[in-house]
Order: sequence, then C-alpha cells, then structure tokens
Amino acid sequence: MKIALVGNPNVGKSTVFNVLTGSNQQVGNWAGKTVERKSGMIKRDQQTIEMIDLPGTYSLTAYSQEEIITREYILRENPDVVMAMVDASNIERNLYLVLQILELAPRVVIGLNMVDLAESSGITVHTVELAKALNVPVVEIVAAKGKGIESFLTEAIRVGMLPQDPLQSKVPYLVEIESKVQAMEKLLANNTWATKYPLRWLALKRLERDPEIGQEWKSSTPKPVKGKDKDACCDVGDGASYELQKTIELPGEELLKKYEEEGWNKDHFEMAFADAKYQYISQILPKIRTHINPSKPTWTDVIDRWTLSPIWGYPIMFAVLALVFWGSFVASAPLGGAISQGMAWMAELIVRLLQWGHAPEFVQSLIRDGIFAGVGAVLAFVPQIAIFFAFFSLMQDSGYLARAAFLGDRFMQLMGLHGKSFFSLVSGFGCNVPGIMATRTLEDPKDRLITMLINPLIPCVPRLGVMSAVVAAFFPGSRGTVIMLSLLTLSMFLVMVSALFLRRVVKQTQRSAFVMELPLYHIPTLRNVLLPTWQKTYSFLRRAWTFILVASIVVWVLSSYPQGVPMNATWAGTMGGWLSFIGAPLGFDWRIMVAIVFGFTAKETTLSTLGILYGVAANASQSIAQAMTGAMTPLNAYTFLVVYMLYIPCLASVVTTYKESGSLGWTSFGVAYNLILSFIMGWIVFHGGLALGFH
Amino acid sequence: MLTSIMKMLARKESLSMAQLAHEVGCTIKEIESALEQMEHMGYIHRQLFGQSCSGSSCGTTHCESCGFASSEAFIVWELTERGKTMVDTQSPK
Repeated sequence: MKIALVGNPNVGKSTVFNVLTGSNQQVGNWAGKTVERKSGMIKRDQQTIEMIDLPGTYSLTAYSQEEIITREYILRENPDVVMAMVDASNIERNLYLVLQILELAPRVVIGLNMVDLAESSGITVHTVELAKALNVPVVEIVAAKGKGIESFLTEAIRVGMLPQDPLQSKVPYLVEIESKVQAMEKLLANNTWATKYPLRWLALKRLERDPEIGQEWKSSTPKPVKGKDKDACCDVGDGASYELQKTIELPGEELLKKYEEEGWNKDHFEMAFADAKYQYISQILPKIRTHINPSKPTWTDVIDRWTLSPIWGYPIMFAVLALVFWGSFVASAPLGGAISQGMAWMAELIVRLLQWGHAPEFVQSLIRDGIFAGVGAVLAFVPQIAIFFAFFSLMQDSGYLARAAFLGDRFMQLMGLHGKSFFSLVSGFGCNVPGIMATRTLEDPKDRLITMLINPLIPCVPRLGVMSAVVAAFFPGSRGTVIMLSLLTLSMFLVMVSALFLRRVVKQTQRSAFVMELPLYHIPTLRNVLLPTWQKTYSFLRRAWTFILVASIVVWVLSSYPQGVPMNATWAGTMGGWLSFIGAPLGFDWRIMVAIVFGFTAKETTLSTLGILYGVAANASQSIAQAMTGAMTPLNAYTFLVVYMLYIPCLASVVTTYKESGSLGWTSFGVAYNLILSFIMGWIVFHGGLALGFH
Repeated sequence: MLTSIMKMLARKESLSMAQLAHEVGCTIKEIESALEQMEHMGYIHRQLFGQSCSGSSCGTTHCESCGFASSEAFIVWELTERGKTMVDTQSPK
C-alpha cells in the first residue's frame, strides 16, 4: 500500500511521519528539484506500507516546486490513500488545501492535529461535523505527544482497503461556473490522455490554463511524422500532418476561446474556483468549530472604534497633536531659558579669559558674537526638540502613529495620491531627505514624482525647531500651541492643494488603495521612547557642532566685515539689501532675508543666523526671543513663519530630489514652486493681517 | 470572498484589516488566510513598513531622522498589476 502524507507547512507532518516510520526512512531529493524527498516503510498486520512525506504546501496550484511535486506525486503515483493533516487552531487556512486534495485524490483521511492547542485557546473543532461536511473520516491527533497517530494510520489503512472509492464532498461552484466545468468535463471525457486523471480536476485545471498540465499533454501526445515537404505531398493526410507539426492544440482550446470571448479568462476561472472554496469554508466553519470563550473585543478593538471612526478619528488626532505641541512648549520653556542663560554666561567667561590672554578683538567677537550667538541660539531649543521627539516616539511605540497615518490616507484619497504616499510624507516629518527617498515604495513614476514634489511642504523637525523658537518668542504659552497648529493645518491644506494641482501638471490619473494591518496598541516602553528620542536629538546636536558651527562662523564674517560700518552696510547687510525687493512686500527687514537665504544650506542655520544678526550675545541678558520681539511685530513673525515653512527645502533635500527623480527640470520646477508658493502665501498673510487690523 | 476582497482593494479608499473583515462579512483570520492565498496566486503583494524601513522597503539611509521608523513593523497589502488587470477586466456575466 502507498500512502501520501500532505498538509500545510508546520502542521506536524514530519512528527507523524517520524513516529510511524521510525528508522526505516530514506531521505533524498525529488528528481530534478531541490526539495527534500522523504519516504519510509511501515509494517502493520503483515501489510507493508510505503509512506511519502510530501512537502508542506498551502495549495496545489502550479506556482511553487512544493505544490507541483505534491500534486504530481498524487497524480502519477496514485497513492492508495492521502492522509491530510490539518491544524485545529488554524483550520480556515488548512482547509483550503484539503478541499483541493479532495478534487485530486479519491481516498482521503483527515488528521486533525494540535487539538490540545486549539482547546487551550477555547476552540473546539467538532470532528463528526467536519467528517460529515467533507464526507471523509477525521481522526483527532496530538502529534507532539504521540496521541492518535496510530488511529490515524489505522483509519487510513481501512479506507485504502475499501472495495470502492468513497463518495467525497465536492466544492459547490456557482451554477454558471459549474455548467462550464461540466462542459469541459464532457469534452475531455473522450480524450484518452484525460482518462489518466480525475476528470473533474482536469477540467478545472484546463479552464485555468494550468501550464503544467499543458506541458504534460504536449509531451505525451504522439508527434506527427516529420520530413514530409508540404509541396511535395499529394496526399491530404500528409498535408494535415504537416499542419499538425506547426501547432499542437490542447483539448478544449475552442471552448476556452469561446469562454474568453464571454469574458472568462484563466484568471477569472482561477479566482472563481478559489473563491468558491473559501466561501465553502466560511459556510461550514460555524458548524464545525465553536469558541468556548468567544473572542472578546480587545483593547485595540475598543480604542480603534474611536480613533479610526470617520467622525471622531480626526478630532482625536487633532487633540493629540495639540497636546504634543502644548507639552513641547510648556515643558521646555524653563530648560530652554536655562540653556540660553548658561550659553551667555559661558560666552562671557570665555571672552574674559581671552581678554586676560590679550587675544585679538576679532577672536573675542568671533567667539561671542559668532559661535556662541549662532550655536547657542540653536542649542537653546534642544529641550523643545527633545520633548517633541519624545512625544513622537510615544505615539509611534503606542501604535497610535500608524492610526494617524492611516487616517491621513483619507487626505491622500482626496488628493488622488496613492495611499502609500503618506508613508513618505510621515517620513518627511522627521527629515525631508528620507521622506523623498521613501517614494521608492511607489511603483507608479507619476505618484513618485508628485509625492517628491510635495514632500518639502511637510515641515521637517529642524524647521519645526526654528518655528517653535519664533512662536515661543512671539506667542508664549497656550497661544503658541494654537499658532503652531494653525501653521500645520495650513501646511496640510497646501499639501492637498499642491497635490491636486500637480496631478494636472504631471497628468497622473488613477489612485489605488490598500489594506493595512494596524499594529496592536500597547503601553510604550521606556527604551522605545528614550532611545529614538536620544538618537534624533543627538542627530540634531551633531549638526549643531558641525554644520551650524561652520555656518555661524561664515555668517559672523559676513556680518562683521567690512569693519567699522553699521551692520546693514556689512557684506551680509549688502546681501540683505539686494533681496529687499522680495522682503519688503512681506514686511521683512534685511536680517530676515539673510537668515532665510542661509536656511537653504540647513534649516537650523536660520536660527543661528538670526541670533548673530540680532546681536544676541552682545547683550548677555537678552535671549534671541527678546532680541527678535524688539525688532519684529507678531504679524511679521507669523508671516516669517509661513514663508519659512513653505519656501525651498534644504540643499540636501534638493539634491535628493534630483537623484531620485533623475530630472533637473522637475527638481527646478519643485524649487520654483516652493519659492513662489511661499511668497504668495506670505503676501496674503501679511497684507490680509494688516487689513484685519493685526500688526 | 476573494472577489470581494479584490474589489475592496481596487477601491480608492484604503482599509484596515478589521474594516475589510467587516465589509466582506468574515473574521480577520479568514481574511488573513485569503490574503495569503491571493498573494501566492500573484494577485496581491505585501510590503513591510516601520521596523523594516532601513534599507528594504524605502531604501533610505537616514533612518535616525526618519519620521516613520518605528519599533513595530506592519504590513500593507495592495493589488499587483495582474490583480489590477483582473479587476479592470469586464466582470463576466
């Protein structure tokens, strides 16, 4: 007797095989394949049984070696019985293979394994009902403990010795599909090759245009006689054989072409057959399985009813963001102030030491007015950055950020962007460079291009740092939270409008969606909050003592020379003067224009530049906030924030856009778009504010 | 069920697994099983985001700055070209 053992991977086949065959095993490879072949001999009641442990597979299509090997063995070797193992705790996944086996093998016995694991999860599989539903014997096993294995084999031997094939259940197909299957069965029934296989199964495979079946048929069909020249022939038979040489048509081809004209191609049939099996599984599941402890809604389910609700989800998201910003402002204010005071004190101390050492005046000025003013202005806002990152990491680790991003996909839908674009935009929230690089996940080049071009409109963390510094200076306390939220809302609105506009420019048409497996909510761990907070803050600090330091020195040089002139007559002042025609309509003085220009190199340099140009360190008791509020109005500040948020991204982002898009034209377009948009929005805010009586 | 899932994936609105299960009228486990089978048949594919961001899904090397790198990986399923063609092809009567 020959018995084949089949089942999904990790269902316990090998355990059963090893218990039954013991040391009488042979291990090798299937002919021409890299998949392992295991066979063994069993002796029971003077019966010698050859058992084959077929490769674990989830189905019997022709997409993998394991599948092809399993079905080829069953078709060619005609085992007397197929022992199909099923995992009781994952029955919906396992039954799909069983239903396919029932179409292929005339004698099947089911071994229901891991019954103990299922029961510990409160799941009971009713073997009697399962046997009735599929019309095959079912034996309960706990393979890991050796229970039921012998009974499984005994039942398989009994079925193998039945005088006739038992009547096993068939998967019911829809009436219109069943009629097509039967039509193909009828056509194939007269074909001698077809009689070697289960007719119904062959009909199904033929309708799917299964490539393996086609190959097999072609290789088994006698070839027409070769060597006869058509022109030389005078016998119709020879001419006919010459035609046959050119094309070997599989049986049922005419019928298939007719079905294709009706809209039924191979993919439709394949999907219909698979669909019918899953429908059948869904129908029988309630009869064959009960949950003793029905699954209660988890905390994730309960919370998601609110956080993913179309009505409540967005207000909740807004409230969470408001909390993040409020926490960042309020908690960091004392720390930021302390750092400012500390930096001023250290600058004074170092300058006194330099004076004592008779260091040249320009060195003292470089240290105090350049380095400490520039780098200090940035370092004073590290607490704010760190607290913001901590809140962000909290959202990530709790699982909420994925929900927020999922809600954000609704906006992607409004913009006509691919759902995956939001991953790029959320990445850009930390830094536009990875945000732009993350567009690689978008297959459509137009989706990629649009997402790349709108990415710089998302304020990255360095920009947020500068913005929060200015907000804290001009709009202290809760007002700062409101201002920041208004800026972010404006940013999101412009992202949407820009995407809609760019869709027309790029001529992108379709959007496609996806299904997302959201992670479970869980209590964030300290490590998962503190470590990314430290990593991101350290990354920010590293830029401060490298890039910002160099930029501060450059700005100091430009704003100190030529010497002996007012600051607005220095090189920096002259540069600002050239740009005044752009700044004047927005209410910006030359310092803001120079700071904006320097922000192109790295966003944080805007703050360090402002620190130097406003002479912060010259007066140790004055912070950058105080220096700026003395020189700008709140309306100027808000206008600056809008322009700063929207104007061109940093140099690294522009370079990345060029590398990823491969187009200088589109990169230039993106830069020009950002510049023009920021100017227009700045003009509207400034003049609109003046008209409304703000100042 | 599979056809319903394909139609959901072809819609403009993305769904969570729970939402998909609710729309199709089955459990999440059944949905997971169906998605894996459809992936095997080549109609959909999965992408990992979050934990696996570094060097695989998005190819960025700026993970420390990335706003999305997280301790949790999660899966996104979408139609392949074959799946889109199948959905776009006129439904047979």
